[in-house]
Amino acid sequence: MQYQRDINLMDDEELVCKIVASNDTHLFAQLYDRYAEKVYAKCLSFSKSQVEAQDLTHDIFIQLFLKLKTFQGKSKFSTWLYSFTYNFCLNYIQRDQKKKKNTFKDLTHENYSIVDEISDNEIYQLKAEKLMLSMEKIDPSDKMILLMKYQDDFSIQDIQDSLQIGESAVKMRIKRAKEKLIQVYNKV
Amino acid sequence: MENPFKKIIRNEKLPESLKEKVLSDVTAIKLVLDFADLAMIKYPASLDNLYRITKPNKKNN
Repeated sequence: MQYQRDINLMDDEELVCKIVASNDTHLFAQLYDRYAEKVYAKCLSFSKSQVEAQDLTHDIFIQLFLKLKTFQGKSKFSTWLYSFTYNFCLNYIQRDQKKKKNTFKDLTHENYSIVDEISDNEIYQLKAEKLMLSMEKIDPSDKMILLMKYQDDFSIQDIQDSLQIGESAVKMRIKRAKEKLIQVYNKV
Repeated sequence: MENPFKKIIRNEKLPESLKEKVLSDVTAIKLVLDFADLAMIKYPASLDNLYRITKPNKKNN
């Protein structure tokens, strides 16, 4: 009883240290309880069905058990885990895309009108239902960076660490992703 | 102004059976890792130690 109370009181980083040191599945179960539904929600936004999202969630937690020792504590554990989840989902989709070529509409060769940078205010004015439909139609890598920035409130530094690219590259990718989102949004 | 990205988060329940499956797979992986550690590191290391311990004894005899 006391043991369970101690586990509940541990913060994520302390819990992760203990799991890495002991490989204790009981402690890992605690980590699962804290994050399974959040990870599942992210998987749902990248998959076509609940079953597929559940399979992804399962595979992410198995990989997480093996890769937990690579968490260095540079960012919050939740940020690291969400980044891990996004990268896992993106790899899964891109692997799937290679199998069934052109599943997603390739927008890279479309002509974009030269527009001023889209402000966060414009993004906040989007309607949730239309946004949801638009997010399903844009490229998964654009979706990932937009979710990181606007849904999970990642800082530019967090996105840099997650994607292992420089600051200007992150800003450019966010800018392009916003442009693509608005373009698709206006057509929905 | 409310952020629409926060409104599109899908809050759905995960089946309890998934937790059982994850934890049983993690236990199986842990068993394989422990066995590999035993067979590839600990067992050879103890054989090596045994060899080192028994070798001078032979010389003494």
